[in-house]
Amino acid sequence: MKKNFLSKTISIFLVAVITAALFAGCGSETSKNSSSAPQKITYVSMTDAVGLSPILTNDSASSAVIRTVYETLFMRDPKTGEIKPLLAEGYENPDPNTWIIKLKKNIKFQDGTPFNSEAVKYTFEKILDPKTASPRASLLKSVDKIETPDEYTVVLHTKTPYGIMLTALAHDNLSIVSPKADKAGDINKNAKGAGTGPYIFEEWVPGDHITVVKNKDYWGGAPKIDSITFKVVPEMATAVSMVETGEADMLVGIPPEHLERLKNNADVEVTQLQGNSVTYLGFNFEKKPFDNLKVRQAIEHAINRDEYISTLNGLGIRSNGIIGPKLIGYNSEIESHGYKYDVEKAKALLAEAGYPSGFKATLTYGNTDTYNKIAPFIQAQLKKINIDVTLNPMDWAAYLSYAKSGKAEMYLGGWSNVTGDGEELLYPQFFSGNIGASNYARYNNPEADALILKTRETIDQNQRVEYLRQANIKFTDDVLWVPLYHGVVTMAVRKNLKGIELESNGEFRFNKAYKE
Amino acid sequence: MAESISALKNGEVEIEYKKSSQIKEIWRRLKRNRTAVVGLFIISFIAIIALLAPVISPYNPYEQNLNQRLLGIGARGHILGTDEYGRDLLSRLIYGARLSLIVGFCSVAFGLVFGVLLGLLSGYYKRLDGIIMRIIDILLAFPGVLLALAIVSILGTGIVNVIIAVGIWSIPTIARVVRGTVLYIKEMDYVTAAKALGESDFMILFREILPNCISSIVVYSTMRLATAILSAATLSFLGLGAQPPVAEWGAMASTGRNFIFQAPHLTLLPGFAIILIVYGFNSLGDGLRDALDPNLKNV
Repeated sequence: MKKNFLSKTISIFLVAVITAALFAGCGSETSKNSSSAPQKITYVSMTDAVGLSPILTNDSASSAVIRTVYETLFMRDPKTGEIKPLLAEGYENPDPNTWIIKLKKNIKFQDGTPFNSEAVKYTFEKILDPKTASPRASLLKSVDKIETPDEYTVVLHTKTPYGIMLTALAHDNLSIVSPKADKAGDINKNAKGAGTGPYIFEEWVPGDHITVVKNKDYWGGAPKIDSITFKVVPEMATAVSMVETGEADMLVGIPPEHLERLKNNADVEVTQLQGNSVTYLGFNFEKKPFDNLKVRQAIEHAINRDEYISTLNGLGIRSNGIIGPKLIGYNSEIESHGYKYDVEKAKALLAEAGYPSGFKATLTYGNTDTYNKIAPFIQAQLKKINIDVTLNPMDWAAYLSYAKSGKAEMYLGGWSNVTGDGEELLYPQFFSGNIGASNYARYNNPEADALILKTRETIDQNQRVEYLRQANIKFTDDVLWVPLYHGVVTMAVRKNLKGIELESNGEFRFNKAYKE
Repeated sequence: MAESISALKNGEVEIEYKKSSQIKEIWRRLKRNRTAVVGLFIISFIAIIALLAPVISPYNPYEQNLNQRLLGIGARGHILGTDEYGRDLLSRLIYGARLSLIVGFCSVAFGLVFGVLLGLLSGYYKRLDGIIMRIIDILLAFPGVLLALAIVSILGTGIVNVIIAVGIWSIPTIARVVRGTVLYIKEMDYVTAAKALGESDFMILFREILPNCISSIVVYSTMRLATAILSAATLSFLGLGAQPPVAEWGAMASTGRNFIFQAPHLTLLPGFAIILIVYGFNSLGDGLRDALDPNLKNV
């Protein structure tokens, strides 16, 4: 009898629990649909951010987060590419070496610190301080002195004319940080309150996700989205199916094999536009035999780029030059330069260089989908000319520091050009002063340095573009990189998420995003 | 004196006679077990394919041809289709068999050398038993493939390191199995007799005890081969084992995943191959256990 009673009680209890759970489930379901429900965005990314401080990072995954938390003085219009003021009010350029920048008033950092000329000075001086070892110090290298005549005026004095100052100031890595937050803690790990942007950093679970929440007091008007989660999903197939099922709201950089599927999904909007990124095979010029032009020419001759591009379903464009078609400085005559696929010629060049029977080399790359696919292809192509390639895939952050420190022999990389100007590729990648930072090639050539400086310092735009054209031809002929393909940027967004515009550098902003 | 020598000789003769009849008896019992025969058949089939790989595979498994990529099963010239680089899938599967068997046997052999030694010492010497078994306990505390994973992360990726990692991971269980058998055997009369005759510990361990552990070692190793191959494939699947372009089933299944909607066979066929070989070794091991069990004479 007693036993019976007990089992009865338990079953009643169970029924009660299940019913409660069901109701709870319904509850959350209905609240999701009502307009007052919090609007959340889940963005999926293959790689985790390296850090959260604009001063200390230089990679797309970090940038995506940094753009929501911090802001730059100027910004590029996503449609026209024109430079417009953001935190700045305007600028004056009394002489080629002086930039007077007026700042917007009444803007506060998320931690309450007022945004003023001191904050700008603090940020830029920190970037320029060699002790900081900022990976993008190159953006401000021409700046000699920073003055703050009043609270809302910053004067940048340059050593030599810096023709592309405004595009540099629109670069994410020159976002202004709150001096108070930066002094108080490591904003590279915890960026709470450190920016002026529309979202406030909330938490970072390394390897899993980063969350930012709405900044109600945002000077440009509070965003409609309550929180954004940047979820790390290293597996592309998983990321794609998360967007398909609605578990995630968006991703950028759709791999070719998933493009059709996402396009055919009625709930997903795919944007595809020619980008300015380039995916390349790079060499470490400090390691033999890659300092030898003939070896590099042989390698370019040995790689059938058209064949690889044919596998990309339209997500890659062939251009022989290092400066691609979407960048300032491109000129179509570059297509008659570079080295065509010709295995016999490659073998001959290798023999001339003194390696008739080939050599052994390692190819280092970050183990993301894109490079994991390219690497075995390069390996097989170079095998034909007896270059025995060992693949060395590494975790993304590890790859960056490995390449930076000059340990790699050959490496695969991609360069998304944030400013859209060819200079923003040549200077960071090939200027000798950036060895140990962004010059992974460790390329050190005084003649090239002089040309690169001209592409930065010339104020006359036509003349500057002419220098870029010359540099493109010279560097392509010298095979500083083998440009494998030039990118097409893609973005897949759930149809109910609106207001996100993809830019040709693959970036976007969440400022105007909202859900229907 | 003369008498005892002749007695011993007679004994040896008898043992020899017994041995051959024993093997016959085991074979007879194994034959009756249908699953075991199927297992044996699968293993022999895969072994032959692996041995003859260069002769029978229709293409070079590493030759890329991007114009013929992602062909389906039954495509012209490629019976099982091609992968994302246009490499012939059948050829890659055949070469993968080679690698799987090599990895399986090498890692189990590695585990056996150390595992058997530790098991013998620990079972025979009471004083060593405590310390060895505690270390083994620690190793056993790591769940599943995690220990192998940890070892590979220390040693670095690559097939040789996978062999070592899976080998190390096999040590504790092998040691446990051997120790258990030794504990039982060392109480046997013939061991006591050997001791009484003044045989050295070394001789007792390796001439009296070890031969009598063989059946449990054989059974266990066969089963272990399945686990070893599976965990090696797992490690490669996770990108820690075979590095591209090596044709390894786990790695093939892993890279094929990106194409699972366009070309599911890239993932399914290597997966099926892994299932087949693991099933083969498991059912053979099962059959062997039944056949070698002296208590099941009438099966």
